[in-house]
Amino acid sequence: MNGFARLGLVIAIGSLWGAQEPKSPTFSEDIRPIIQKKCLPCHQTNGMGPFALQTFDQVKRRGDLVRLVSLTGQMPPTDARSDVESLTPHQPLDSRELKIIQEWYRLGMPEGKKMSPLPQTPTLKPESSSKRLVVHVGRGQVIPAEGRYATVVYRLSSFSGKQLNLKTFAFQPDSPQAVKQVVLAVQRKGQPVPFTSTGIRSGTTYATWAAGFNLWRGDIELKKEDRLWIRLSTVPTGKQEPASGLVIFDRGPGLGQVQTQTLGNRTFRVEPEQLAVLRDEWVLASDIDLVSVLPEARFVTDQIRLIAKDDQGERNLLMVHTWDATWPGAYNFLRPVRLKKGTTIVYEASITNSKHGHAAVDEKSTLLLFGPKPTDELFWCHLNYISR
Amino acid sequence: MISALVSSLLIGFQLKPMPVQPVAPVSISDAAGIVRQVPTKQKATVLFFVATDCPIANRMAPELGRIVRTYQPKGVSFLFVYVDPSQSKKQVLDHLKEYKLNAPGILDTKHRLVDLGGATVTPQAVVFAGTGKMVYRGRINDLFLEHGRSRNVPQTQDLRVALDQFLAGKKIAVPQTPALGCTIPPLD
Repeated sequence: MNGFARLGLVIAIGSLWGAQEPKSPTFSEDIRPIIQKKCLPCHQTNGMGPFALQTFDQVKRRGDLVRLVSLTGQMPPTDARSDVESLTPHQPLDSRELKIIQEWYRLGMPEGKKMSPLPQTPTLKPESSSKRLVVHVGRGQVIPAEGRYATVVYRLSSFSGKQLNLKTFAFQPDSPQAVKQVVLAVQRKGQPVPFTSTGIRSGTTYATWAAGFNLWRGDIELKKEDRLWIRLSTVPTGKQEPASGLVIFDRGPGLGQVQTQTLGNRTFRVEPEQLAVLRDEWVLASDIDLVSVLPEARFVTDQIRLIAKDDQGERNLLMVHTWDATWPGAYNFLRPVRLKKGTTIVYEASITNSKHGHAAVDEKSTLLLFGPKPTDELFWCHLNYISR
Repeated sequence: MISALVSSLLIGFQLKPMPVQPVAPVSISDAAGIVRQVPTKQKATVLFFVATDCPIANRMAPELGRIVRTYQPKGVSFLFVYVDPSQSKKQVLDHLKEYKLNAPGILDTKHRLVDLGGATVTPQAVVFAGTGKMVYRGRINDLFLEHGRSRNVPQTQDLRVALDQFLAGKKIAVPQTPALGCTIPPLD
Protein backbone atom coordinates (compact mmCIF):
# COMPACT_ATOMS: atom_id res chain seq x y z
CA MET A 1 0.00 0.00 0.00
CA ASN A 2 1.51 3.33 -0.93
CA GLY A 3 1.58 6.30 1.41
CA PHE A 4 -1.40 8.12 -0.11
CA ALA A 5 -3.64 5.05 -0.04
CA ARG A 6 -2.71 4.47 3.56
CA LEU A 7 -3.46 8.11 4.40
CA GLY A 8 -6.84 7.76 2.69
CA LEU A 9 -7.66 4.70 4.74
CA VAL A 10 -6.65 6.47 7.94
CA ILE A 11 -8.85 9.45 7.07
CA ALA A 12 -11.76 7.14 6.24
CA ILE A 13 -11.41 5.30 9.54
CA GLY A 14 -10.94 8.61 11.31
CA SER A 15 -14.17 10.01 9.94
CA LEU A 16 -16.09 6.85 10.83
CA TRP A 17 -14.85 7.26 14.39
CA GLY A 18 -15.59 10.96 14.24
CA ALA A 19 -19.22 10.26 13.44
CA GLN A 20 -19.67 8.53 16.78
CA GLU A 21 -17.48 10.73 18.94
CA PRO A 22 -18.91 13.70 20.84
CA LYS A 23 -17.73 17.20 19.91
CA SER A 24 -14.12 18.21 20.63
CA PRO A 25 -13.50 18.92 24.30
CA THR A 26 -12.58 22.44 25.43
CA PHE A 27 -11.22 23.69 28.72
CA SER A 28 -14.27 25.69 29.74
CA GLU A 29 -16.87 23.05 28.95
CA ASP A 30 -15.14 19.77 29.67
CA ILE A 31 -11.86 20.12 31.55
CA ARG A 32 -12.80 22.86 34.02
CA PRO A 33 -15.57 20.79 35.69
CA ILE A 34 -13.23 17.79 36.05
CA ILE A 35 -10.52 20.00 37.57
CA GLN A 36 -13.04 21.58 39.94
CA LYS A 37 -14.27 18.22 41.18
CA LYS A 38 -11.09 16.17 41.25
CA CYS A 39 -8.07 18.52 41.47
CA LEU A 40 -9.15 21.80 43.05
CA PRO A 41 -9.51 20.49 46.62
CA CYS A 42 -5.68 20.42 46.75
CA HIS A 43 -4.52 22.48 43.75
CA GLN A 44 -5.48 26.00 44.76
CA THR A 45 -3.49 28.96 46.05
CA ASN A 46 -1.98 27.95 49.42
CA GLY A 47 -3.46 24.49 49.07
CA MET A 48 -1.88 21.08 49.62
CA GLY A 49 -0.80 20.80 46.01
CA PRO A 50 2.45 22.50 45.02
CA PHE A 51 0.70 24.69 42.43
CA ALA A 52 -2.77 26.04 41.70
CA LEU A 53 -5.00 24.81 38.86
CA GLN A 54 -7.63 27.53 38.94
CA THR A 55 -7.27 29.19 35.56
CA PHE A 56 -6.96 28.04 31.96
CA ASP A 57 -3.37 29.33 31.81
CA GLN A 58 -2.37 27.48 34.95
CA VAL A 59 -3.78 24.20 33.64
CA LYS A 60 -2.38 24.65 30.13
CA ARG A 61 1.10 25.39 31.49
CA ARG A 62 0.95 22.05 33.26
CA GLY A 63 -0.80 20.26 30.41
CA ASP A 64 1.96 17.65 29.98
CA LEU A 65 2.01 16.87 33.65
CA VAL A 66 -1.79 16.86 34.06
CA ARG A 67 -2.07 14.33 31.23
CA LEU A 68 0.81 12.20 32.53
CA VAL A 69 -0.25 11.96 36.17
CA SER A 70 -3.89 11.36 35.34
CA LEU A 71 -3.18 8.59 32.83
CA THR A 72 -0.70 6.88 35.14
CA GLY A 73 -3.16 7.06 38.03
CA GLN A 74 -0.81 9.13 40.22
CA MET A 75 -3.45 11.83 40.62
CA PRO A 76 -5.79 12.23 42.44
CA PRO A 77 -3.13 11.02 44.83
CA THR A 78 -3.93 7.57 45.99
CA ASP A 79 -2.61 4.31 44.68
CA ALA A 80 -4.73 2.67 47.34
CA ARG A 81 -7.91 0.78 46.53
CA SER A 82 -10.37 -1.21 48.55
CA ASP A 83 -12.94 -3.71 47.29
CA VAL A 84 -15.10 -3.23 50.35
CA GLU A 85 -15.28 0.44 51.32
CA SER A 86 -14.19 3.86 50.12
CA LEU A 87 -10.88 5.25 51.44
CA THR A 88 -11.14 8.80 50.11
CA PRO A 89 -13.95 11.31 49.89
CA HIS A 90 -12.88 11.99 46.27
CA GLN A 91 -13.24 9.36 43.62
CA PRO A 92 -10.38 8.69 41.18
CA LEU A 93 -10.71 9.89 37.56
CA ASP A 94 -13.04 7.58 35.65
CA SER A 95 -12.44 6.31 32.12
CA ARG A 96 -14.72 8.94 30.57
CA GLU A 97 -12.79 11.74 32.28
CA LEU A 98 -9.44 10.22 31.29
CA LYS A 99 -10.60 10.03 27.67
CA ILE A 100 -11.65 13.70 27.72
CA ILE A 101 -8.29 14.78 29.21
CA GLN A 102 -6.39 12.74 26.63
CA GLU A 103 -8.45 14.07 23.73
CA TRP A 104 -8.23 17.70 24.92
CA TYR A 105 -4.45 17.38 25.21
CA ARG A 106 -4.22 15.81 21.73
CA LEU A 107 -6.20 18.72 20.24
CA GLY A 108 -3.65 21.22 21.63
CA MET A 109 -5.61 22.14 24.77
CA PRO A 110 -8.23 24.54 23.35
CA GLU A 111 -9.72 27.05 25.80
CA GLY A 112 -13.26 27.48 24.47
CA LYS A 113 -15.27 30.22 26.10
CA LYS A 114 -13.33 32.60 28.44
CA MET A 115 -14.29 31.90 32.04
CA SER A 116 -13.41 33.28 35.46
CA PRO A 117 -10.86 31.43 37.66
CA LEU A 118 -12.21 28.54 39.70
CA PRO A 119 -13.16 29.84 43.14
CA GLN A 120 -10.96 29.19 46.15
CA THR A 121 -12.39 26.82 48.76
CA PRO A 122 -12.96 28.95 51.85
CA THR A 123 -10.32 28.20 54.50
CA LEU A 124 -11.82 26.54 57.55
CA LYS A 125 -11.01 28.26 60.79
CA PRO A 126 -12.26 25.71 63.28
CA GLU A 127 -12.87 26.89 66.81
CA SER A 128 -13.31 24.99 70.02
CA SER A 129 -16.87 24.43 71.16
CA SER A 130 -18.76 21.99 73.34
CA LYS A 131 -18.54 19.46 70.50
CA ARG A 132 -15.13 20.33 69.11
CA LEU A 133 -11.70 20.75 70.57
CA VAL A 134 -9.12 22.67 68.53
CA VAL A 135 -5.50 23.02 69.61
CA HIS A 136 -2.68 24.79 67.76
CA VAL A 137 0.34 22.56 68.17
CA GLY A 138 4.02 22.45 67.23
CA ARG A 139 4.82 26.16 67.47
CA GLY A 140 8.54 26.66 66.90
CA GLN A 141 9.01 23.14 65.47
CA VAL A 142 10.33 23.03 61.92
CA ILE A 143 10.43 20.71 58.94
CA PRO A 144 13.96 20.72 57.50
CA ALA A 145 14.46 22.19 54.02
CA GLU A 146 16.03 19.07 52.56
CA GLY A 147 15.77 15.31 52.51
CA ARG A 148 13.73 12.57 50.92
CA TYR A 149 11.37 12.60 53.87
CA ALA A 150 11.43 13.75 57.47
CA THR A 151 9.41 12.92 60.55
CA VAL A 152 8.73 15.32 63.38
CA VAL A 153 7.51 13.98 66.74
CA TYR A 154 6.23 15.94 69.70
CA ARG A 155 4.08 15.59 72.80
CA LEU A 156 0.83 17.49 73.12
CA SER A 157 1.53 18.86 76.57
CA SER A 158 -1.83 20.63 76.82
CA PHE A 159 -3.48 17.22 77.24
CA SER A 160 -1.57 16.12 80.32
CA GLY A 161 -3.86 15.22 83.14
CA LYS A 162 -7.09 15.61 81.15
CA GLN A 163 -9.81 13.02 80.83
CA LEU A 164 -11.57 13.20 77.50
CA ASN A 165 -13.64 11.20 75.08
CA LEU A 166 -12.45 11.81 71.51
CA LYS A 167 -14.54 10.72 68.55
CA THR A 168 -12.75 11.87 65.40
CA PHE A 169 -9.35 13.29 64.64
CA ALA A 170 -8.23 15.71 61.95
CA PHE A 171 -5.19 17.87 61.32
CA GLN A 172 -4.85 21.17 59.48
CA PRO A 173 -1.15 21.72 58.78
CA ASP A 174 0.40 25.18 58.56
CA SER A 175 2.57 23.76 55.74
CA PRO A 176 0.01 21.87 53.67
CA GLN A 177 2.51 21.11 50.90
CA ALA A 178 5.02 19.44 53.20
CA VAL A 179 2.88 17.42 55.62
CA LYS A 180 1.71 14.10 54.16
CA GLN A 181 0.54 12.04 57.12
CA VAL A 182 -0.11 12.62 60.80
CA VAL A 183 -0.35 9.95 63.50
CA LEU A 184 -1.73 10.71 66.93
CA ALA A 185 -0.79 8.10 69.54
CA VAL A 186 -1.67 7.52 73.18
CA GLN A 187 0.96 6.74 75.80
CA ARG A 188 -0.67 4.99 78.73
CA LYS A 189 0.82 5.34 82.20
CA GLY A 190 3.96 3.22 82.59
CA GLN A 191 4.28 2.58 78.83
CA PRO A 192 7.22 3.86 76.76
CA VAL A 193 6.84 6.64 74.16
CA PRO A 194 4.60 5.20 71.40
CA PHE A 195 6.93 6.10 68.51
CA THR A 196 10.21 4.29 67.97
CA SER A 197 12.82 5.36 65.43
CA THR A 198 11.12 3.12 62.86
CA GLY A 199 7.42 3.01 63.59
CA ILE A 200 4.64 2.82 66.11
CA ARG A 201 4.99 0.41 69.01
CA SER A 202 2.71 -2.53 68.66
CA GLY A 203 -0.50 -2.30 70.68
CA THR A 204 -0.52 1.49 70.74
CA THR A 205 -3.87 3.23 70.44
CA TYR A 206 -3.63 5.72 67.61
CA ALA A 207 -5.52 7.78 65.04
CA THR A 208 -4.35 8.95 61.62
CA TRP A 209 -4.83 11.79 59.19
CA ALA A 210 -3.53 12.27 55.63
CA ALA A 211 -4.29 14.87 53.01
CA GLY A 212 -7.07 13.75 50.70
CA PHE A 213 -8.16 10.68 52.69
CA ASN A 214 -11.16 9.98 54.91
CA LEU A 215 -11.07 11.26 58.46
CA TRP A 216 -10.33 8.79 61.22
CA ARG A 217 -13.39 7.83 63.22
CA GLY A 218 -13.62 5.86 66.42
CA ASP A 219 -13.50 6.57 70.14
CA ILE A 220 -10.35 7.05 72.13
CA GLU A 221 -11.07 7.45 75.78
CA LEU A 222 -8.24 9.41 77.36
CA LYS A 223 -7.58 8.62 80.99
CA LYS A 224 -6.10 11.14 83.38
CA GLU A 225 -2.49 9.86 83.18
CA ASP A 226 -2.47 9.42 79.42
CA ARG A 227 -0.12 11.45 77.27
CA LEU A 228 -0.73 12.29 73.62
CA TRP A 229 2.03 12.20 71.04
CA ILE A 230 1.90 13.30 67.47
CA ARG A 231 4.10 12.33 64.49
CA LEU A 232 4.19 14.27 61.23
CA SER A 233 5.52 12.51 58.13
CA THR A 234 6.70 15.18 55.75
CA VAL A 235 8.39 15.68 52.42
CA PRO A 236 10.76 18.66 52.60
CA THR A 237 9.97 21.37 50.05
CA GLY A 238 13.35 23.11 49.66
CA LYS A 239 12.84 25.68 52.42
CA GLN A 240 12.37 25.32 56.14
CA GLU A 241 8.67 25.14 56.95
CA PRO A 242 6.73 25.24 60.22
CA ALA A 243 5.79 21.81 61.57
CA SER A 244 2.78 23.26 63.32
CA GLY A 245 -0.92 23.00 62.72
CA LEU A 246 -4.37 22.65 64.17
CA VAL A 247 -5.33 19.40 65.84
CA ILE A 248 -9.09 19.06 65.59
CA PHE A 249 -10.97 16.61 67.77
CA ASP A 250 -14.67 16.00 67.87
CA ARG A 251 -15.69 15.04 71.36
CA GLY A 252 -17.27 11.56 71.66
CA PRO A 253 -18.97 9.16 72.14
CA GLY A 254 -19.04 7.76 68.61
CA LEU A 255 -18.57 4.41 66.96
CA GLY A 256 -17.12 2.59 69.98
CA GLN A 257 -13.83 2.07 71.74
CA VAL A 258 -11.06 1.15 69.29
CA GLN A 259 -8.47 -1.53 69.85
CA THR A 260 -5.36 -2.27 67.84
CA GLN A 261 -3.97 -5.47 66.37
CA THR A 262 -0.48 -5.35 64.84
CA LEU A 263 0.48 -7.79 62.09
CA GLY A 264 4.03 -8.46 60.83
CA ASN A 265 5.53 -8.00 64.25
CA ARG A 266 7.90 -10.99 64.06
CA THR A 267 11.16 -11.73 62.28
CA PHE A 268 11.43 -12.33 58.54
CA ARG A 269 14.63 -12.66 56.48
CA VAL A 270 15.08 -11.58 52.88
CA GLU A 271 18.40 -12.54 51.30
CA PRO A 272 20.34 -10.14 49.01
CA GLU A 273 18.99 -9.81 45.45
CA GLN A 274 15.81 -11.65 46.42
CA LEU A 275 12.22 -10.84 45.69
CA ALA A 276 9.92 -11.86 48.50
CA VAL A 277 6.31 -11.72 49.53
CA LEU A 278 6.02 -11.50 53.32
CA ARG A 279 2.79 -12.67 54.92
CA ASP A 280 1.24 -12.56 58.33
CA GLU A 281 -2.32 -13.35 59.37
CA TRP A 282 -4.91 -12.96 62.08
CA VAL A 283 -7.89 -15.27 62.54
CA LEU A 284 -10.79 -13.42 64.13
CA ALA A 285 -12.03 -14.88 67.40
CA SER A 286 -15.14 -12.68 67.32
CA ASP A 287 -16.96 -10.28 64.97
CA ILE A 288 -15.22 -6.95 64.50
CA ASP A 289 -15.77 -3.61 62.78
CA LEU A 290 -12.55 -2.65 61.03
CA VAL A 291 -12.16 1.13 61.28
CA SER A 292 -8.73 1.84 59.81
CA VAL A 293 -5.53 0.26 58.54
CA LEU A 294 -2.06 1.71 59.05
CA PRO A 295 0.67 -0.13 57.15
CA GLU A 296 4.24 0.83 57.96
CA ALA A 297 6.87 0.08 55.35
CA ARG A 298 9.92 1.71 53.84
CA PHE A 299 11.69 1.89 50.51
CA VAL A 300 12.20 -1.81 49.77
CA THR A 301 8.44 -2.38 49.75
CA ASP A 302 6.75 -2.29 46.35
CA GLN A 303 3.17 -3.31 47.07
CA ILE A 304 0.92 -3.91 50.04
CA ARG A 305 -2.24 -5.96 50.36
CA LEU A 306 -4.64 -6.69 53.20
CA ILE A 307 -7.05 -9.51 52.40
CA ALA A 308 -10.08 -10.90 54.19
CA LYS A 309 -10.70 -14.65 53.62
CA ASP A 310 -13.90 -16.31 54.70
CA ASP A 311 -16.35 -18.91 53.38
CA GLN A 312 -17.53 -16.34 50.80
CA GLY A 313 -14.05 -16.14 49.30
CA GLU A 314 -11.35 -13.49 49.26
CA ARG A 315 -11.67 -9.68 49.28
CA ASN A 316 -9.07 -6.93 49.23
CA LEU A 317 -9.61 -4.76 52.26
CA LEU A 318 -6.70 -2.58 51.13
CA MET A 319 -4.37 -2.67 48.17
CA VAL A 320 -1.53 -0.18 47.62
CA HIS A 321 -0.21 -0.78 44.11
CA THR A 322 2.87 1.42 44.34
CA TRP A 323 3.93 1.92 47.91
CA ASP A 324 5.46 5.34 48.47
CA ALA A 325 7.21 5.54 51.82
CA THR A 326 7.42 9.31 51.52
CA TRP A 327 3.71 9.73 51.00
CA PRO A 328 1.82 7.27 53.17
CA GLY A 329 -1.93 7.59 53.30
CA ALA A 330 -4.36 7.29 56.15
CA TYR A 331 -6.47 4.32 55.26
CA ASN A 332 -9.64 5.10 57.16
CA PHE A 333 -12.76 3.40 55.85
CA LEU A 334 -15.70 5.68 55.20
CA ARG A 335 -17.89 3.23 57.14
CA PRO A 336 -16.47 0.51 59.41
CA VAL A 337 -16.13 -2.86 57.67
CA ARG A 338 -17.89 -5.69 59.51
CA LEU A 339 -15.86 -8.93 59.53
CA LYS A 340 -17.25 -12.16 60.93
CA LYS A 341 -15.72 -14.44 63.52
CA GLY A 342 -13.50 -17.03 61.79
CA THR A 343 -12.41 -14.64 59.00
CA THR A 344 -8.69 -14.74 58.29
CA ILE A 345 -7.07 -11.35 57.69
CA VAL A 346 -3.88 -11.69 55.66
CA TYR A 347 -1.35 -8.89 55.39
CA GLU A 348 1.21 -9.23 52.62
CA ALA A 349 3.94 -7.02 51.21
CA SER A 350 6.06 -7.52 48.09
CA ILE A 351 9.69 -6.76 48.74
CA THR A 352 12.40 -6.13 46.17
CA ASN A 353 15.72 -6.42 47.96
CA SER A 354 17.63 -4.77 45.13
CA LYS A 355 18.23 -1.32 43.77
CA HIS A 356 16.00 -2.36 40.90
CA GLY A 357 12.94 -2.09 43.11
CA HIS A 358 10.56 0.74 42.23
CA ALA A 359 11.68 2.88 45.16
CA ALA A 360 14.70 1.18 46.69
CA VAL A 361 17.09 2.98 44.38
CA ASP A 362 19.71 3.71 46.99
CA GLU A 363 19.45 0.58 49.05
CA LYS A 364 22.41 -1.74 48.89
CA SER A 365 21.30 -5.29 48.56
CA THR A 366 22.15 -6.87 51.90
CA LEU A 367 20.43 -9.36 54.15
CA LEU A 368 17.23 -7.68 55.32
CA LEU A 369 15.71 -8.53 58.68
CA PHE A 370 12.12 -7.51 59.19
CA GLY A 371 10.88 -7.51 62.75
CA PRO A 372 10.01 -5.70 65.95
CA LYS A 373 13.45 -4.20 66.77
CA PRO A 374 14.01 -0.48 66.03
CA THR A 375 16.90 -1.47 63.73
CA ASP A 376 14.77 -3.94 61.73
CA GLU A 377 13.16 -3.27 58.39
CA LEU A 378 9.44 -2.57 58.55
CA PHE A 379 6.69 -5.00 57.66
CA TRP A 380 4.04 -3.86 60.07
CA CYS A 381 0.37 -3.28 59.73
CA HIS A 382 -1.75 -1.88 62.54
CA LEU A 383 -5.48 -2.55 62.42
CA ASN A 384 -7.86 -0.37 64.39
CA TYR A 385 -11.08 -2.20 65.17
CA ILE A 386 -14.08 -2.24 67.43
CA SER A 387 -15.12 -5.58 68.95
CA ARG A 388 -18.70 -6.58 68.27
CA MET B 1 6.10 1.22 9.82
CA ILE B 2 6.97 -0.19 13.22
CA SER B 3 10.64 0.69 12.75
CA ALA B 4 9.60 4.25 11.83
CA LEU B 5 7.55 4.44 15.01
CA VAL B 6 10.42 3.12 17.14
CA SER B 7 12.89 5.57 15.65
CA SER B 8 10.52 8.49 16.18
CA LEU B 9 10.14 7.45 19.81
CA LEU B 10 13.92 7.27 20.15
CA ILE B 11 14.32 10.73 18.68
CA GLY B 12 12.02 11.97 21.45
CA PHE B 13 14.56 10.88 24.04
CA GLN B 14 17.60 12.31 22.28
CA LEU B 15 19.14 15.47 23.67
CA LYS B 16 19.03 18.38 21.26
CA PRO B 17 22.52 19.32 20.11
CA MET B 18 24.29 22.19 21.86
CA PRO B 19 25.28 25.19 19.71
CA VAL B 20 28.83 24.91 18.40
CA GLN B 21 29.43 28.65 17.93
CA PRO B 22 29.57 31.15 20.82
CA VAL B 23 26.17 32.76 21.40
CA ALA B 24 25.50 36.46 20.86
CA PRO B 25 25.13 38.08 24.30
CA VAL B 26 21.71 39.30 25.43
CA SER B 27 21.16 42.44 27.52
CA ILE B 28 18.31 42.00 29.99
CA SER B 29 17.30 43.61 33.31
CA ASP B 30 17.13 41.51 36.41
CA ALA B 31 14.25 41.65 38.90
CA ALA B 32 16.05 44.38 40.87
CA GLY B 33 16.27 46.56 37.73
CA ILE B 34 19.99 46.09 37.00
CA VAL B 35 20.84 45.45 33.35
CA ARG B 36 22.83 42.25 32.92
CA GLN B 37 24.70 40.98 29.92
CA VAL B 38 24.20 37.23 29.45
CA PRO B 39 26.58 35.43 29.23
CA THR B 40 28.73 37.62 31.46
CA LYS B 41 32.41 38.26 30.82
CA GLN B 42 33.29 36.10 33.86
CA LYS B 43 35.26 32.85 33.54
CA ALA B 44 31.93 31.01 33.42
CA THR B 45 28.25 31.96 33.59
CA VAL B 46 25.72 29.52 35.01
CA LEU B 47 22.04 30.03 34.23
CA PHE B 48 19.69 28.17 36.56
CA PHE B 49 16.26 27.84 34.96
CA VAL B 50 13.63 27.76 37.71
CA ALA B 51 9.97 28.44 38.43
CA THR B 52 8.52 29.60 41.73
CA ASP B 53 5.87 26.86 41.76
CA CYS B 54 7.86 23.92 40.39
CA PRO B 55 8.21 21.49 43.31
CA ILE B 56 11.21 19.73 41.73
CA ALA B 57 13.10 23.02 41.24
CA ASN B 58 12.19 24.14 44.74
CA ARG B 59 13.41 20.92 46.32
CA MET B 60 16.71 21.48 44.52
CA ALA B 61 17.02 25.06 45.87
CA PRO B 62 19.26 24.30 48.89
CA GLU B 63 21.78 22.60 46.57
CA LEU B 64 21.57 25.46 44.05
CA GLY B 65 22.39 27.84 46.92
CA ARG B 66 25.40 25.72 47.93
CA ILE B 67 26.68 25.59 44.35
CA VAL B 68 26.49 29.40 44.17
CA ARG B 69 28.39 29.73 47.47
CA THR B 70 31.06 27.26 46.34
CA TYR B 71 31.72 28.51 42.81
CA GLN B 72 31.06 32.26 43.02
CA PRO B 73 34.45 32.84 44.75
CA LYS B 74 36.09 30.83 41.94
CA GLY B 75 35.03 33.36 39.32
CA VAL B 76 31.73 31.79 38.23
CA SER B 77 28.75 34.08 37.75
CA PHE B 78 25.23 32.82 38.53
CA LEU B 79 21.81 33.95 37.35
CA PHE B 80 18.43 32.47 38.24
CA VAL B 81 16.12 32.59 35.25
CA TYR B 82 12.40 32.51 36.12
CA VAL B 83 10.61 31.07 33.12
CA ASP B 84 6.94 31.74 33.93
CA PRO B 85 5.98 35.04 32.22
CA SER B 86 2.84 35.40 34.36
CA GLN B 87 4.94 36.02 37.49
CA SER B 88 5.96 39.46 38.76
CA LYS B 89 9.44 40.80 39.59
CA LYS B 90 8.37 41.00 43.22
CA GLN B 91 7.51 37.29 43.20
CA VAL B 92 11.00 36.60 41.82
CA LEU B 93 12.69 38.68 44.53
CA ASP B 94 10.53 37.09 47.25
CA HIS B 95 11.32 33.60 45.97
CA LEU B 96 15.09 34.27 45.93
CA LYS B 97 14.89 35.50 49.52
CA GLU B 98 12.61 32.71 50.73
CA TYR B 99 14.84 29.97 49.31
CA LYS B 100 18.07 31.80 50.26
CA LEU B 101 19.37 32.00 46.71
CA ASN B 102 22.17 34.56 46.66
CA ALA B 103 22.41 35.58 42.99
CA PRO B 104 20.39 37.85 40.68
CA GLY B 105 17.02 36.65 39.38
CA ILE B 106 15.70 37.45 35.93
CA LEU B 107 12.06 37.25 34.95
CA ASP B 108 12.36 35.95 31.40
CA THR B 109 9.00 37.20 30.11
CA LYS B 110 9.93 36.85 26.44
CA HIS B 111 11.94 33.65 26.90
CA ARG B 112 15.05 35.30 25.49
CA LEU B 113 17.23 33.35 27.92
CA VAL B 114 15.17 30.17 27.57
CA ASP B 115 15.90 30.36 23.84
CA LEU B 116 19.54 31.36 24.36
CA GLY B 117 20.14 28.37 26.64
CA GLY B 118 17.75 25.97 24.90
CA ALA B 119 16.21 25.13 28.28
CA THR B 120 13.29 22.70 28.33
CA VAL B 121 12.48 22.08 31.99
CA THR B 122 13.02 23.55 35.45
CA PRO B 123 15.39 23.02 37.18
CA GLN B 124 18.07 22.97 34.52
CA ALA B 125 21.58 24.44 34.33
CA VAL B 126 23.25 25.96 31.28
CA VAL B 127 26.92 26.94 31.51
CA PHE B 128 28.67 29.37 29.17
CA ALA B 129 32.41 29.96 28.99
CA GLY B 130 33.68 33.57 29.04
CA THR B 131 33.93 33.32 25.25
CA GLY B 132 30.16 32.83 25.01
CA LYS B 133 30.43 29.17 24.10
CA MET B 134 27.96 26.83 25.75
CA VAL B 135 29.91 24.16 27.65
CA TYR B 136 27.25 22.35 29.72
CA ARG B 137 23.50 21.89 29.60
CA GLY B 138 21.44 19.57 31.74
CA ARG B 139 20.55 18.45 35.22
CA ILE B 140 22.12 19.67 38.46
CA ASN B 141 22.39 16.11 39.80
CA ASP B 142 20.51 12.80 39.70
CA LEU B 143 18.42 13.33 42.86
CA PHE B 144 15.23 12.74 40.89
CA LEU B 145 14.85 9.59 38.79
CA GLU B 146 11.38 10.36 37.51
CA HIS B 147 8.34 12.30 38.64
CA GLY B 148 7.58 11.38 42.23
CA ARG B 149 10.67 9.21 42.60
CA SER B 150 13.81 10.58 44.22
CA ARG B 151 16.96 9.24 45.81
CA ASN B 152 18.05 9.79 49.40
CA VAL B 153 21.29 11.32 48.19
CA PRO B 154 22.30 12.08 44.60
CA GLN B 155 24.85 9.66 43.18
CA THR B 156 26.17 11.93 40.44
CA GLN B 157 26.74 15.67 40.88
CA ASP B 158 26.74 16.39 37.14
CA LEU B 159 26.93 20.19 37.27
CA ARG B 160 29.62 20.30 39.98
CA VAL B 161 31.70 17.76 38.05
CA ALA B 162 31.35 19.82 34.85
CA LEU B 163 32.30 23.06 36.62
CA ASP B 164 35.31 21.43 38.33
CA GLN B 165 36.57 20.07 35.02
CA PHE B 166 36.00 23.40 33.27
CA LEU B 167 37.72 25.44 35.98
CA ALA B 168 40.69 23.02 35.93
CA GLY B 169 41.06 23.74 32.23
CA LYS B 170 39.99 20.23 31.26
CA LYS B 171 37.47 19.13 28.68
CA ILE B 172 34.04 18.55 30.24
CA ALA B 173 33.59 14.79 29.97
CA VAL B 174 29.79 14.84 29.97
CA PRO B 175 28.69 18.21 28.53
CA GLN B 176 25.03 17.24 28.22
CA THR B 177 22.72 15.36 30.58
CA PRO B 178 18.95 14.88 30.54
CA ALA B 179 17.15 17.20 32.95
CA LEU B 180 14.01 16.11 34.77
CA GLY B 181 11.49 18.55 36.10
CA CYS B 182 8.59 20.79 35.16
CA THR B 183 8.25 21.36 31.42
CA ILE B 184 8.73 24.96 30.27
CA PRO B 185 5.66 25.61 28.11
CA PRO B 186 6.24 27.66 24.94
CA LEU B 187 4.95 31.24 24.92
CA ASP B 188 1.58 31.76 23.22
